[in-house]
Amino acid sequence: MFGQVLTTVARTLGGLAGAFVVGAILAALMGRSALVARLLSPMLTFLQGIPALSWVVFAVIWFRGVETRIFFIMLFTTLPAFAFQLLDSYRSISKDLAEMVVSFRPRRWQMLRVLVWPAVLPGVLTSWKANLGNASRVVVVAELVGATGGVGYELLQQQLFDMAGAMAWTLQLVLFVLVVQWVISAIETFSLRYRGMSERSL
Amino acid sequence: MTADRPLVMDGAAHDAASLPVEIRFDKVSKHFRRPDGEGTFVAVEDVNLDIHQGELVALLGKAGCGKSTLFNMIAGLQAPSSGAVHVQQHDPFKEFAALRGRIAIVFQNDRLLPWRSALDNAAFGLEMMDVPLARRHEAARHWLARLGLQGHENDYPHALSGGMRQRVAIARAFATDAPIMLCDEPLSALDEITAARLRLEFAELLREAGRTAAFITHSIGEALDIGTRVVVLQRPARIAYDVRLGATPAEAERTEVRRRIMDVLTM
Repeated sequence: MFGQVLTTVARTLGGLAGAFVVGAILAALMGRSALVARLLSPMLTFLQGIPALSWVVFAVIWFRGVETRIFFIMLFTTLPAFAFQLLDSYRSISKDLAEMVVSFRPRRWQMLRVLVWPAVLPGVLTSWKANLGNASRVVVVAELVGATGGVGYELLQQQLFDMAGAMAWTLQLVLFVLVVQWVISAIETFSLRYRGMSERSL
Repeated sequence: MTADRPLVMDGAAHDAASLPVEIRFDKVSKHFRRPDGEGTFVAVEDVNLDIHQGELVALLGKAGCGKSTLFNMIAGLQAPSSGAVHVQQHDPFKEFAALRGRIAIVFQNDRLLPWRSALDNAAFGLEMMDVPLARRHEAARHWLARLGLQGHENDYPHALSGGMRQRVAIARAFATDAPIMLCDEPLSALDEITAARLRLEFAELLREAGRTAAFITHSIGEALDIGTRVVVLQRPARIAYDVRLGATPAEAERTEVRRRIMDVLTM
């Protein structure tokens, strides 16, 4: 039973990782070139408007392999949000700090390591948290079509009104989302510990 | 009066001119395109200026007179539209990487990286120069201690006061041991008492370390306290007055220089 949840977990995290990598590349390209941003931004907005179910249908038509289909669906449903959120984080890097770092004449990788990565990290973590919930819903829909394992497939087996079974699979998936959210929050608390906190909450 | 022949107020100060030139502006002009795209405006016009080794040059002028543009051209952040800028015989814009470790900048605001401790911020310049961790921490600790921040090495910027943060920024610049120091109104964001105290320490450290420094200031008092030479700019950046001061200028000399600066600034 737990193996089915792990399958769904692997598909979710794999899809998110793929979308994150592609999204980060697109965000970097858009951040560095206004022309690329003008070209890609409407395309990503267009992709964002396509319903998850349409991606499922496209995947079934275009691909044969189950894992390829699921990865494709996960990639395209979460890619635009990753790209936009990462672009926003990149553009929010303080010009003053960038100028200070440049004044020490760093190499490109040093610039990435000492400024870009730490500055975009809060945005990266937020984008993972925001996309995780969306991805966990989409992966179940993707698994309904053609998959022979995973939480979505198991839910499909409970369609003859086995409410207890449906609830059990659903709760397992929700539990998984909560665990991953907790892990991201722990990383966030550790890596953003430099931030000052007011004694009085906002 | 031009920078080629600055007014010398003291015989001892004349020695500075015999030392090697560290920064040279040779007929430098800088034009910017107007934001509306129609025409250009002149920020710097035909500036000739030699800054010699060990000189502490105060660049003084009204807001918008092109001081920051001159500063950015020395730092290699902007290229001149015509003429040439040389820093230690290098073009700071075209040969940007060649001057790694040779120029350190103290900005108007501290510009500390908020995710780094005071120690790691002070060691930042050395890290960019690939200095090993132990050595850069040793240098950073030394300069933090010199600037009265012993015990605050592990504090993040948000836990430090404005004056303390600016001290970390100064430590970051000094720790690099760069022979040229550029300072853009380094004390203007501080309150009067902290600025006055830090100004004296800053001037002492610059003199002690034998650095060549160009610093922008709006304050005549600050220019006379820190500088061994004062260059007054008029809009667009054109040298209107250039004077070398003695190491310890007499009050009469300071008063005379102050009067002349005021004359130029109110012209």
